[in-house]
Amino acid sequence: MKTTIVLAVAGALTLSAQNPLSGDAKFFYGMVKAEVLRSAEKMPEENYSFKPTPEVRSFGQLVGHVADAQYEFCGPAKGEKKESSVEKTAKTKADLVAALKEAFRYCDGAYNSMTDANAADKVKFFGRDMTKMGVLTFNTVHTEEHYGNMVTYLRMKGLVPPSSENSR
Amino acid sequence: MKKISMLIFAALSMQAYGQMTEAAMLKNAYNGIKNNITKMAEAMPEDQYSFKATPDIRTFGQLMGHIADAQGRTCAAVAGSAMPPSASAKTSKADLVAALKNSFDICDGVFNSLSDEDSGKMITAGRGGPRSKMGTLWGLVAHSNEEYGYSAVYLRLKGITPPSSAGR
Repeated sequence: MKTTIVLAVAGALTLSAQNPLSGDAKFFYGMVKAEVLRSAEKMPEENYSFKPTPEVRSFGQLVGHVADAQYEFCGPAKGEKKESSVEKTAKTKADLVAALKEAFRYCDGAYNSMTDANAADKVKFFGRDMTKMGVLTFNTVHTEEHYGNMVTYLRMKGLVPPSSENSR
Repeated sequence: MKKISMLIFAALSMQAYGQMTEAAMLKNAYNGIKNNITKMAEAMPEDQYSFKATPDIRTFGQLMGHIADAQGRTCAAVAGSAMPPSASAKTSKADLVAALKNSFDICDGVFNSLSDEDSGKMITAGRGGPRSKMGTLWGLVAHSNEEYGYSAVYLRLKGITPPSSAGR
């Protein structure tokens, strides 16, 4: 068993060493994905309608927007077009969490299939040629921004956000 | 989605005559968050730099100081130059705006000199690593976006529209 684990770790490191660029892009996506999922699970159902001020998205709408955005970015990266309207249609926490998980599963495929060799492949994004890794990393950065919104919403409800759970 | 379209449009318009390479996409993402954070720091009135959305988190001023430190130190490490002084104890708007500007000045040199050729070079800067130079810088942009996301809610709570939503 131990040998298997050592081999698995060695294999992962070798893969990472061979793919420093795409490996880093996957690392940051995996991090924010986990943080957003945990935030969505952590916020109680009754606070999904919470919004700090009247003109901004509710917590539930933020979750829906992040889910929709995964298709908006990862669709083009996979050479597909996927319509998504989670923000407008999903209402309950259970529906939103399920839709978020599904959206990340969709994106996982795009990130997992990326290597340094194909990271610079051109993909069509809003009618323009962009690189696959560029589109996916924009997705990560956009998700981070909205995770940041969620953090303050969680704090206003007395909850410690996932990224601070181990430091406080 | 409108926001994503605007983000991408801004990125593309800056590169209308250039090849959208990996390095170019990263530079555009950096310039986008630099613009938003600079405008955000200017938009918040001096007397609200001590505002915090809940008692157990950073004040707006501390958030700006944290962004300045993360950027200045990571970029100085990448550039191999001297670490800038910490902004963590600064409280006045003028000092924090200056610290942010200093961090962007350091980072401008790093991002502007990044080429696709050296983007895969492995370095250790910031937390964790070693990572590729491009991965390190994408991580920094993602972090700045996350902190901008927290701070955007602070602005909303003070009745100010965040720069990324202005004009909508």
